[in-house]
Amino acid sequence: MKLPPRTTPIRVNLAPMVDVTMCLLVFFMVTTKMVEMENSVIDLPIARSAKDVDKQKLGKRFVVNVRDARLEGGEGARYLVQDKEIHLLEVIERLHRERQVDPLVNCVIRADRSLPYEHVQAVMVGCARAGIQKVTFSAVSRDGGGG
Amino acid sequence: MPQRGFSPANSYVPNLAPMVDVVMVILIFFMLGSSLVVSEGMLPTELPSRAGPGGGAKVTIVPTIRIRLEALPEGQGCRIIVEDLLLSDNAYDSLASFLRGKLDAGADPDGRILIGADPSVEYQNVISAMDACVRAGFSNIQFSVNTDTIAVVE
Repeated sequence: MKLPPRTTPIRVNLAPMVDVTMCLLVFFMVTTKMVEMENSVIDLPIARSAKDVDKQKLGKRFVVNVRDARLEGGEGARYLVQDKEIHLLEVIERLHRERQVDPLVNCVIRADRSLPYEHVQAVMVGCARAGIQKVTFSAVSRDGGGG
Repeated sequence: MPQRGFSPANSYVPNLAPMVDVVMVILIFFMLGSSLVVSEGMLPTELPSRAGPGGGAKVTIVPTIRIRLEALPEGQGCRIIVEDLLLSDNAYDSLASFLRGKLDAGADPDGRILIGADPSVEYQNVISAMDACVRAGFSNIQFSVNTDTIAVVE
């Protein structure tokens, strides 16, 4: 007598897939957090000619965020470096220190578009006095919330 | 008689499928979230070595074209004056056309453009003026910072 073929249930082993997916998830979560730490939420100005520059080409960066304090009911501007609010004089001091560490340091100015120019000008003067030659303005190529 | 002790090892297999569903949804959220963010562009500039340490930022320059941005009252933007010619208020496209005309007339694209702005002018206007210069084809743009201090960018 011929026996009917035995059907064996196929089980997909999901464990390796879970491993890979979890790694990707952690990667995206950590990178998102790192970007947030360096770049405070700023309503960047719009410039159609702003190019997406390779971060490697920029070299060592020193990011100065300048927030319009009027947007939060305050007065003047707030200077933030690595998500920490510091006084303008301290920003200038930090610029001097960064210049001493790396003469080719690139100062990236990220400022709110509604900010009076004098506050950005103060950082530029600080860069010039510290001897920092590379200054980069952050901008968005289209409106959409900014950085 | 009922069987005592641990059940055979192969009888308990955790069901990973719901976990995979949730993790995949979170992963797709982060991936889409990072790609939907408006990418941040850069306007790279360089200060001349003359403005280095010890030399302060006092640089004497002879610009090819001067652009002056004067603040209008009550935050209505700014008045654009280019080489003593008054353009329409906030008309940066006209500024770009004017500069393109200058290039067509034989101006040097490496020639210096000096942008001077009132301290109360909104930062967006200064960037728009710089943007107009870059779009027109000029690459050597300078900013007059105040009456006795000039930062030059190119």
